[in-house]
Amino acid sequence: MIYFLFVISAVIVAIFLYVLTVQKISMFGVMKAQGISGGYLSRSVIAQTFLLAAVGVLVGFILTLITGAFLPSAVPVAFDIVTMCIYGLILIVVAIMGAVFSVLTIVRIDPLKAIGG
Amino acid sequence: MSVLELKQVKKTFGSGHKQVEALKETNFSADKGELIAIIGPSGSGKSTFLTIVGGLLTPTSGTVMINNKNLTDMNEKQRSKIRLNEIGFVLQASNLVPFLTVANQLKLLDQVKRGNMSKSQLEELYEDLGIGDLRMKYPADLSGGERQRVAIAKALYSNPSIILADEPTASLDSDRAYEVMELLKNETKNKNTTTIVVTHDTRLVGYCDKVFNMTDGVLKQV
Ligand SMILES: Nc1ncnc2c1ncn2[C@@H]1O[C@H](COP(=O)(O)OP(=O)(O)OP(=O)(O)O)[C@@H](O)[C@H]1O
Ligand SMILES: [Mg+2]
Repeated sequence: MIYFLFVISAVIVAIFLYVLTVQKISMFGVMKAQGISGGYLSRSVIAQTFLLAAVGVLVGFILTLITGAFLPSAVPVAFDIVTMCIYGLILIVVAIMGAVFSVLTIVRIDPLKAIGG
Repeated sequence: MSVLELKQVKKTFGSGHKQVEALKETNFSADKGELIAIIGPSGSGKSTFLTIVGGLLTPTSGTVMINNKNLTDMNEKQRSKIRLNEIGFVLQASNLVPFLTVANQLKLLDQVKRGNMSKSQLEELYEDLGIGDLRMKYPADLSGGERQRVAIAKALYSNPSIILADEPTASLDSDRAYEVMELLKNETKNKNTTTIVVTHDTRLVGYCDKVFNMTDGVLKQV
């Protein structure tokens, strides 16, 4: 069940990043025309994805812990920090894998088409 | 020694009877410190010529040499490096990044390249182009002419050896158009760059050292 959740979040993150990338195609084209390499742009997107995913996981952690603190003691919950960290890392890795789709798109952008010269 | 040399360069689009010879076989060379104008009617192949020179479009046949490096032999990665280091583009369509302020448009280049203008040179450039007050603004909040001047600043900022401008004065009133040509001329002379300007406006031709006419894909000096 939990693995299924990973697949779903991977797909959602990938689509989310892809939409962000598609919106910026002409801008990436302009930068490529200027001579900024596809590699540099791809690395930037990966780095930004990492930040986004790390912040997302962190916020998720905090909310989970807060929820746990406010649940009545009748509800049986236990948090295992180690498990949470492992799953958090997996989520970040999965998000970066999602970003790879966007990177493929960026590499294929033809600067000439994008600038409409 | 020529900075730029085109040998028997030709570009055809499409195939069969839809084929368009956008650029017929062309030989062309340009030296340091030359300001060159290319005039010609719409659809005559001016942009095609300029984008081939800038390494954005691969010619169907022939060779393009920039500072003795053969552009046509290169892969996209190497050409991208040439564009970064040697070429400044001022494009027909605006080439600004929508979510960066004017100042950050230029600073973006500092991330990927050394040897851009110094702070004092940059101040001077802002001054010359009359865009000093705009540096905190976004492209969407600028007029067409202001955007064009920022695009020119961006092209000059990286100290390129070749400046390629496609209708740089199209959206400017004539006073500004003259100023921009004056600026391009000064830049060309002071920094010993090579500048090619495509324009419809025959009044600007007076600023240029050489004038070429493009008709139906044929380039001729006048
Ligand atoms: N990608 C393309 N596919 C097919 N034909 C093209 C393509 N790009 C340009 N052409 C054709 O090549 C010819 C030259 O186009 P080019 O854009 O160089 O003209 P131009 O001189 O810059 O015109 P303008 O002054 O309107 O900008 C035109 O007939 C155009 O239709
Ligand atoms: Mg054109």
